[in-house]
Amino acid sequence: MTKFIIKRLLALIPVLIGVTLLVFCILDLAPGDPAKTILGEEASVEAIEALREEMGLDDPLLVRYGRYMAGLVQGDLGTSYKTGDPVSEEVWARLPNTIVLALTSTVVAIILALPLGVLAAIKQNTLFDGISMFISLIGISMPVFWMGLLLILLFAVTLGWFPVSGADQGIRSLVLPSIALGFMHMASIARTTRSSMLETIRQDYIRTVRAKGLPEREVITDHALKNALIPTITVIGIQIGQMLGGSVLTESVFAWPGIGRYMIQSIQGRDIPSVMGCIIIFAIGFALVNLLVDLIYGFVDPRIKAQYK
Amino acid sequence: MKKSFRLLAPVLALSLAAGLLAGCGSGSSSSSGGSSSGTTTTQAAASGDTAASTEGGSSGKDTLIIATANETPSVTSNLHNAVAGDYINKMTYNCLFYMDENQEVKEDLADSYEIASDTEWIIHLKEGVKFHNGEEMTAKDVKASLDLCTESPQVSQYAAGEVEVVDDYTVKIITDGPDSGLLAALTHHGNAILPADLIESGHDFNKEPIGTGPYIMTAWNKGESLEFEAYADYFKGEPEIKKVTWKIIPEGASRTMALEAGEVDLIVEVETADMSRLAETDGVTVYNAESTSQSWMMINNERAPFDNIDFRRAIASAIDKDAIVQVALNGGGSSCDSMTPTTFPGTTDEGAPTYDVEKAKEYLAASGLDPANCGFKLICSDDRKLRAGQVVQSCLKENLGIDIELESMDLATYLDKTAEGDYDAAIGGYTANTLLQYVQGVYHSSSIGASNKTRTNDPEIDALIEKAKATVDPEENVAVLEELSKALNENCPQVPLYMTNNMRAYNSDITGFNLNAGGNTRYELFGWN
Repeated sequence: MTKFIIKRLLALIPVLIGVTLLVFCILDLAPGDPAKTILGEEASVEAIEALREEMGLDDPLLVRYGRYMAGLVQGDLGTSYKTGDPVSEEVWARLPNTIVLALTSTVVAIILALPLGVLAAIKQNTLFDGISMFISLIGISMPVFWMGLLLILLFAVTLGWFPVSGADQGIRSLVLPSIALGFMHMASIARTTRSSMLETIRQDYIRTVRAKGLPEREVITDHALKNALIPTITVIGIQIGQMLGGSVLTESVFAWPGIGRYMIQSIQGRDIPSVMGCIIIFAIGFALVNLLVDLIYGFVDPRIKAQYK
Repeated sequence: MKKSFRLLAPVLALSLAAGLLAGCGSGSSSSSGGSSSGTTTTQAAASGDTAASTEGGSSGKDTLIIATANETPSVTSNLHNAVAGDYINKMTYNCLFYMDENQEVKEDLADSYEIASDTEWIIHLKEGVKFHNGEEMTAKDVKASLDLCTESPQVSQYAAGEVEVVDDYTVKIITDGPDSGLLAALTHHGNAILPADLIESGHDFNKEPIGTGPYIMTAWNKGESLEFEAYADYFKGEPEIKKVTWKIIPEGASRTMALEAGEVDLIVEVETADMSRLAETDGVTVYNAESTSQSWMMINNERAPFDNIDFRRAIASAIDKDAIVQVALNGGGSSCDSMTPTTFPGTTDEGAPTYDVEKAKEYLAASGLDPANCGFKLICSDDRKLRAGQVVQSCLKENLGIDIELESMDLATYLDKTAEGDYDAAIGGYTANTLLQYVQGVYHSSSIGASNKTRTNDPEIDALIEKAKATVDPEENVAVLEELSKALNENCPQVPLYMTNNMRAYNSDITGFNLNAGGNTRYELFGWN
């Protein structure tokens, strides 16, 4: 088990080298110049040249990449072109917010989705099935920013229960963004759970369990659900991984100070060190969540656990 | 929108009721731990703010919450040239001079000034002005600060010149040739006065911006807000409002709703689509007046067909600018014909092409060009510019039979391509505090490769700009600028489209609201009814 985890962590190194090189090259090849973007429409010729030199932009690509990687192995994520502050500082100021939002909205999504998906499968082709799948269809098709605006209009402006925006009121600030984001993710989890449950219920061993005379509740929770969970866990894992990279639209609507909006702004500003910092955190986060998902498989299904060597 | 919401509300309420409870209950343990680790200082400070703000417009309130769309890249005055940063710098710093409500230069840290010769300015400083750290501001601080501006590429275009310390409260500035724009340049945040010893010791002004300004920055919660506290020893008297928070809310609709809910007191960037709704809201005042910011369709004068002056005049006459103001700005601006902002003294409409389809056809005939071969690509780097571009497209097609193609592009690419001259046409703008700054940046040949994106290279215009710079007497200066403005209109290097308005929306109980055409507000004058 430990060996398996270490092996997986070591596999991260080539992934990181590949990701950093790719992103560095893409940003460098993309049209647009960090110096001109910082100085804006009003920039003068001398200022652009002076700033390019100050930021070392005139060096060849490989020299700059080498310099960046040399800093990175010493734990230095570099200095943001735009703000002049260390990237690590910028990222750490926003990362906790992103993690909190990702986790709470996942909790919201799971709590809504699992019962909805399981019940829809058990009561397949009934009115309840139709309604629950309709709700998840709304979740998938309604853009999250629109959902967010409606929530703000009802619960913040009209009823005044929660703040309109920001992250400065603790849990109260967290409720609406978590629901907006969770509702969207609920939809795909519910649909996956439903189809996986439908498949499991038709298995021979379920028929055997029923034939033994076990109460239906136990059949569903102990025997069917546990076996049906693997695809659901996969979906949840991928969603958490994505949310760790930030949820740009939700962050914008609710003025949530997360990493997604920061990364988008950095890309627009061609702020290469900041983008690299975000991508590296994103890649590590995704890899760790994937690892966690693999480990959870083992707990749900002992057959898989036996393969971890 | 409202009607559909009424229909949807019950559906939403039902489907979310369960989720709401679930979200509160189970999310609590993980969320309280996580968010407090990231922003401890915020929660402590901000909960006090909101407690006060929910009281509404009661008297005795002494906090102000401002909603803004953009976070400043930096609060270090010499390391950025961002509007969002200028707002913040003006909270904590003063310059030697400032722009008043009428866009005129007034003494700030300077007490008075005299012009010793064409190139020598003597500036007398106010005595007894204290920095936030308690030290007194003297001439050596002024020298160190103005020198810092000269050395920093982000703001070096506002550099004053050589600075000499005469005595503790007097400095002499020696400019490189006569410079009528000196005082205006000294109002720019790049020339903010910082303590000399802190500049020397490499103090991190981004963490602790120590200046002479009305407010002291107490916290910068990245991506979220900036917090300020009134400076008790401010040299013009302690501000009435003791705590100011700048809250970053990127989404326009969210800013509007935050004001409606009373969560913020003032919106800096008001969505044009929300203006009329806010104007009808009780307790909200809307401000909407001309700014100094001009937008045009810039055209690359080095490329055919734009190297043909009659062609330039033809397209300038064929575009319905009032339609653009309606479509792109939702009425939040005004059309303009002159090549320089109408809000500056010295700008004239004389000689500028106006919207006149018959004239446009005459100009096109005079150019000797076949409209079928005159198609070009128009770069639009955001949504508003795209809407303006669509009007340009239909006007040129209908009135002159010219087919143009709209090209969407992100801001960074657009800035690069237009500065390098690698484009046909683009919609863009320029903001300056004075007409002189404006023409130097937009039309002087020395700015080619940067902000002179039309690549206008006309010795007559260069000479007039230099003459305006060298003419220090205000009346003569305006006369030269008028001559320059006329020459530019006749040359027609680009197609002026509109002047955007400065728009703000704020709680009607705020007193002392002020805003000049350049977009500067002095928040220390604010109070509550």
